[in-house]
Amino acid sequence: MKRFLMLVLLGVMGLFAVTLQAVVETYEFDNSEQKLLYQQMARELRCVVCQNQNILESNAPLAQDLRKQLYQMIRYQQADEKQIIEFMVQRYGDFVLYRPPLQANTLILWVAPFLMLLFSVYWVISYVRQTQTLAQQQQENKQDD
Amino acid sequence: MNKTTWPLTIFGGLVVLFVVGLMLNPKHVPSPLIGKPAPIIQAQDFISQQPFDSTELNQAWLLNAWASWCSGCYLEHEHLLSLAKTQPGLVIVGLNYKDKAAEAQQWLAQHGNPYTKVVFDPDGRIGMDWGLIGTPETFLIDAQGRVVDKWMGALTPERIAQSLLPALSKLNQQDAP
Repeated sequence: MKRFLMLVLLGVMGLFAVTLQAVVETYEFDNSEQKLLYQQMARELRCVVCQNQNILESNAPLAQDLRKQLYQMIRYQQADEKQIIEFMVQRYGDFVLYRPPLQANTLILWVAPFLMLLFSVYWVISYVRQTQTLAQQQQENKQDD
Repeated sequence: MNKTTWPLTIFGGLVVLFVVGLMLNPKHVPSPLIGKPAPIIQAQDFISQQPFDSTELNQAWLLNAWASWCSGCYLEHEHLLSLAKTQPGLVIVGLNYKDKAAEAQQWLAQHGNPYTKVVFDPDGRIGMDWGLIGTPETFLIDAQGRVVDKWMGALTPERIAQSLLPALSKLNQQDAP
């Protein structure tokens, strides 16, 4: 019985997953590069209303507007990635980017993981060395006895 | 610091960092427009059908984004009305965002009109230039056309008294001499 309920629950969850994907309008592009740029940018731009979704996944009206804007910029203004990012950041700030740019106020964000890695490597090495010397000392003590 | 206290210190530091981070309001997105020239609005006034050009204002003004479908706008509406009443010289421009003309007009007729001008933005193009995230949102622009401040969500009497009016009187003082 429990297993059956689990299966039903999983099935229901699966249904939601399908509806979540079925948001996007179909836009026609002149070539595959434009289409690729559209999809790439729509994945990288955050929907500022529903903050943990990109504009490709989001169904919010603002995300629809931004997709339309993105489409028009790519198809009719031949905008490249840089121009699109500039347009969006000018209006919605760095927050609209899922990949934060490397600049003074984001430096710690980019550097901290590497610092932590370095620090933990140092910590592991010193810990191993310490236990080694301890073991050696203990052995030497034993031999002395 | 000895061997046992420094991991604790790091842990404590992280806890403080996370607690502060969790207390921040993620819905508060700082506007990149603050301190920058305000996007220019050139449109027709929704009520008088006269042309409206934001560059011709030459004084501090407020831009309030609203819509008839927006419940937060209904909440702040009475406070906007009393703001317009107590600050007779203040220009409040209403940006009617993604709304239907008839519904917007009816809303103003029914609840009163606090706006000096109303700009109709049915497809949200003007809103996008201002980086509008949701209604209501209120911007303060100085006489030189720079965005000074922004309030997201409904204005309350407290927000108006403690934040909006002081910012406004500071601007007027700067412009006076």
